Amino acid sequence: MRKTVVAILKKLLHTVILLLVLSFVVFSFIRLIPGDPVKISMGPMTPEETIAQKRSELYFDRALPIQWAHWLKGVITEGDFGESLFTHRNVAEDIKQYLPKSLELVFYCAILILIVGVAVGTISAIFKNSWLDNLIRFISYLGVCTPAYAIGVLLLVFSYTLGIFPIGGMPTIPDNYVRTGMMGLDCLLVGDFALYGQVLKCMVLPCLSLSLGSIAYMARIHRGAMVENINADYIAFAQVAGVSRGKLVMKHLMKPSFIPTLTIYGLQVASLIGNAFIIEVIFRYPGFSQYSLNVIQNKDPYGIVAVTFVFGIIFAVVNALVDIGVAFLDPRIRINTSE
Amino acid sequence: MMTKELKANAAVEQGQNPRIESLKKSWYKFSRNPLSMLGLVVVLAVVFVAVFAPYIVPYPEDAGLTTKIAESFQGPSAIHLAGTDEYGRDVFSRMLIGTRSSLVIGLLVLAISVPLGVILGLVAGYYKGKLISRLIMWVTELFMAIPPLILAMVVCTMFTNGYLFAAIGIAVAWWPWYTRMTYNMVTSLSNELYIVYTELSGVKVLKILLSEMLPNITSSIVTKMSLDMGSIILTASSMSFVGLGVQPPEPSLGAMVSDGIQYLPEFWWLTVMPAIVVVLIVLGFNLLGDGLNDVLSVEEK
Amino acid sequence: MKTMKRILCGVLSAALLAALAACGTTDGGGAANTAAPGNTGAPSTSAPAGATVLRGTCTTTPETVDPARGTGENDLMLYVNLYECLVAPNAEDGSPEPQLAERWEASEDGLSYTFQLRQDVTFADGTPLTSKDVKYSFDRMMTMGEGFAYVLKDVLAETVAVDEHTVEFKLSKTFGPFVSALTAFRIVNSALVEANTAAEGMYGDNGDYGTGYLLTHSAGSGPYVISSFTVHDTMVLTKNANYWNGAVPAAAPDTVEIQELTEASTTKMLMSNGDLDFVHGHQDSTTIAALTANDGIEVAELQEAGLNYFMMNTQKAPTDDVHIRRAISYACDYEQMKQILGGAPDANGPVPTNLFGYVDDFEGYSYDLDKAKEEIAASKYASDLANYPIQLDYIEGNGDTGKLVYLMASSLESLGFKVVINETPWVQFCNNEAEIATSPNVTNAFATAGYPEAGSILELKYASWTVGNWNQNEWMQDEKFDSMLNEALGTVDDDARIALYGQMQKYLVEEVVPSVYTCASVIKPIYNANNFEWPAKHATTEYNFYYADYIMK
Repeated sequence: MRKTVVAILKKLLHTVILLLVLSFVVFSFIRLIPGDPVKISMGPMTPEETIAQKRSELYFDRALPIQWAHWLKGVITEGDFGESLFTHRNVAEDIKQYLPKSLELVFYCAILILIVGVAVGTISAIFKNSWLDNLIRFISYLGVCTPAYAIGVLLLVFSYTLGIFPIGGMPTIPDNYVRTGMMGLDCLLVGDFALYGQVLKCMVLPCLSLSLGSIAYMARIHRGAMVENINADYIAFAQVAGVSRGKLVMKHLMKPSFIPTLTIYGLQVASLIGNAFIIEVIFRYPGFSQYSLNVIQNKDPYGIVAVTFVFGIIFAVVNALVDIGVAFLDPRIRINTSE
Repeated sequence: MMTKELKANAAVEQGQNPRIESLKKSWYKFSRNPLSMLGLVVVLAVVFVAVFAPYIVPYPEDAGLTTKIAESFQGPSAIHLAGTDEYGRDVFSRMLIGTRSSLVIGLLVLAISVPLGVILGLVAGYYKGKLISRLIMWVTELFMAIPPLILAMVVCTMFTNGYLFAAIGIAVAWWPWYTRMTYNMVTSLSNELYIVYTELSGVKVLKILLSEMLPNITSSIVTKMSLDMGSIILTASSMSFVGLGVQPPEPSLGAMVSDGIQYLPEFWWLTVMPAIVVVLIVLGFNLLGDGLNDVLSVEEK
Repeated sequence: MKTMKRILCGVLSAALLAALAACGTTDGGGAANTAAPGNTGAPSTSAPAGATVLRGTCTTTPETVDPARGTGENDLMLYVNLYECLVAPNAEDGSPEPQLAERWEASEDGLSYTFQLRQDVTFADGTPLTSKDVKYSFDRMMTMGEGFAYVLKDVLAETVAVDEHTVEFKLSKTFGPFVSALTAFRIVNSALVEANTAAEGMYGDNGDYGTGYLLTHSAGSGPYVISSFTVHDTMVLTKNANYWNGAVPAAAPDTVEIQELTEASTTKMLMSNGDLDFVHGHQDSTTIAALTANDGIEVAELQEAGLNYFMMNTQKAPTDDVHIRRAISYACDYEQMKQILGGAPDANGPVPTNLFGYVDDFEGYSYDLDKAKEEIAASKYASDLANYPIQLDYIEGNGDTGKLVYLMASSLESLGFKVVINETPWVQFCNNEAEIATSPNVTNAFATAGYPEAGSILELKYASWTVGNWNQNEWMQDEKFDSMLNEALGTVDDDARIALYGQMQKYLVEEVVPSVYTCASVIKPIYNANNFEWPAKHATTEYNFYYADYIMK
């Protein structure tokens, strides 16, 4: 166990170094962007002296390594990610405001994907080659090929006609509720269940559009893993030994099948965060992905650096979690530190 | 190894070229799977449409600056199969012409990322443990550390808009996967006996890489390319959805969907039709890729 | 190991339960709340019972609440509710009338203006407004140099607080539109801003000059105060309980919630569900038609002090040739464009017809392809049109301007031009305009005057020193025009100034031809007349969004 922990820590450390280098690369990219982001942010008629002052304040008049070092120092010592030229405040504040909301959305999606994906995959495997299996496989195949925005658009069309779920936006959370920044969780912590219900209701469509593709993919993977295991010798043996069907499926089939499933699951959840932005745009979900899109489109230097940095950390953390999960499920697998 | 030799022997006994023979067998297997064939047909159709779109669509001029305000927002009909948009342009014509840029971006990305990724992977794999290998794999990881879509978008904003730059953006995010795949395959191949023999017999490194390693991993790479084509088109359409890539008035499927959203729900065809086309294209490439995968991976075993 | 597995199983099943519970709640909520689908901004818990709420949308929130920094339409719509100026434009024709000042007088030489302030004005926090605040606000704006500071940059030498309620402005040169320009300069509460100034900042002794605080807080004397401000998301205004000019009318909304919303589909949904009371004025014609199909939904047509321009780059081939620019002016199908914009009023020349200083003693251009061909034939590019493509840019998501551009482009193509169109995101658009190398041949955009006078728009659009901003893709470097402009701006006598403005307009239309004047800029906010009564029309656009005048039902 200790070995695993050490290995994971090592891996995380490695990732941190990787991310630091990455931030430097992104900084140099940003310096290549044509045009002057500082000038643009100050309005059309601002005199050159004011712009020069601002440029100096943001370290844009200094050499790239100095700017990077200054940024890094700020991040490490006081969590200061620099000033966003898009929101005119510290990027750290933006992250604090938007990231929890995206994480909450992804959290619900992750749960949905795990449960529905595994359930559908299991059903498909148990009724292998029946019409139900074929139908599920067909739909999953289609789901994998459908971009999230297409699902979002289709859901939009439906909800226009049905009018059950709100098609965009989120309820306003009173300022005195805010504790974690996650809208639903804050409502729960305060005990306002009515508002929590509203929040959830608003999340249904974005959550579905975001997760349907991954559900389809998970179902495929899980079915494949289950089918492989159904044919394994030990299952036949267990059947002969008179293990009940329910127990057989749950204990002997499910668990080993979870190893490939979980690995893919981790990757899917990580990619959710990257793919969320179109969905957040379509459904006007005030999350981090939408913020990222804005800073990228507005060429906001410190914003872009922070966004790539945060996504890198999320990727790394999710991967570490997957490693831990797999290690629990299968003691034979030890985390490989060299890679 | 065993099967390969046996197969070769059998072929020699029958006095036929073993390579053609195995291709024939693969084709037989492939053609027996209706889904793979469906994928092939879709892909061929997409390629055909992409190449000849300007000559076969009913309103080729609608790809450009046409405005027929009087004809705007007509629903699907015999005259306009998929309706018309806010400028009165034929959506069907624009969709077919839009497949062109999707395909071109897909091919461009592969043309950049596959050679780059494979060469780096070969080098890194062959020199496993050496500094150069570590360096390459480290840079690879660097580019894999953030979501490809975000990376592609960041790179894309660095340039002016246009689909060459969208392709470069996606390629920057894509090559590491080829490097890693090639690297993994090469490192496992390196331990195979025949590679070790060749090496001992003093054959040059380049020759080993090109004549021994490369052919062995080609089939996997081809399979991955076919599967990736679908994902790349998806990514590209997601990017054009937010305005990165193909510039108007030239049609692109993602941009058509995003432009049409504001006219929902009355003018649903503006979004639903191009979305279906994207799904169809991606479906085709995925089916084809899976078909190839089935055939070629069995072959390798 | 075994216990670990148990824990993991436990966690997984807990997650499962939570999700099931979540699904359950979701369904329940759906069933219970079907009466109000599409709820977004309803402050079900934040407003006290009985309080009236006005919910609206804007194309983008201002980036800050700081009146020294913004010049855009959305900035001004917010500012008029939070801050006040010495003088404000009147409702009929936009000419300046007293607001915070009681009266003023100019010196003989036109180099000094003395303003008497009202004595009864207090800021929202109860502090009385004095000459100190006026001096602070002007010094602050001129030091920061952002926003409208450019208007008085070379004019205002010093602001002197003579006594508690007297302020003297000393000018370094005469400036005809001085009083009119003051409608763009808003007074902040100096005590409040100073108390919230960070010591560290780019303004030396003044630290950050309160810019950090004013990002999300207001410090004005207007009828509303900011109670919550999230940039690019939502802003919430509440009534100023201490409003000096009598209480804010009870019929006016207690709370105003404005959210950034550009998606037409969501706009339609929220509006038809009654979850919005008004939406911003830049909807395209399809959306307007769909919205007004609902019962009680009406359009308020507000003509701005601005025009839609095709701005032609006078420095870049082929639009550097005046014949080509004339040809483009003749190639514009004015009637159809006006129709696309929903019947916007005519434009005649560079100055909007509703602006002080507009003159009409010249002949404009009309849609005439034959004349366009003649002009092309007379140009130096006549034989070589295909080698000089015209790059035509417009702003992404800017109402119906895309259609105007397409119409223009197809007309130009029929004349033998090669046209390249770019739909450019806003920031990119500004970025391109910063330098001549990246500026296109032609752009289409709406430009409006900064203060209610022709001089404002003429300077912004055609002076050689205002190039590099998106309002001026013309890149004018015309010495004759510059000297005419300086002469006009320096003329204190109104009639003489108007005459000079007239000469400039004639000169631009007949000799320089820097832009195509498509039509007047009209914004069309759409509102739910069942929920509130829109006030009488005001000549200055942003004052139509003065919420204290609204009557809630």
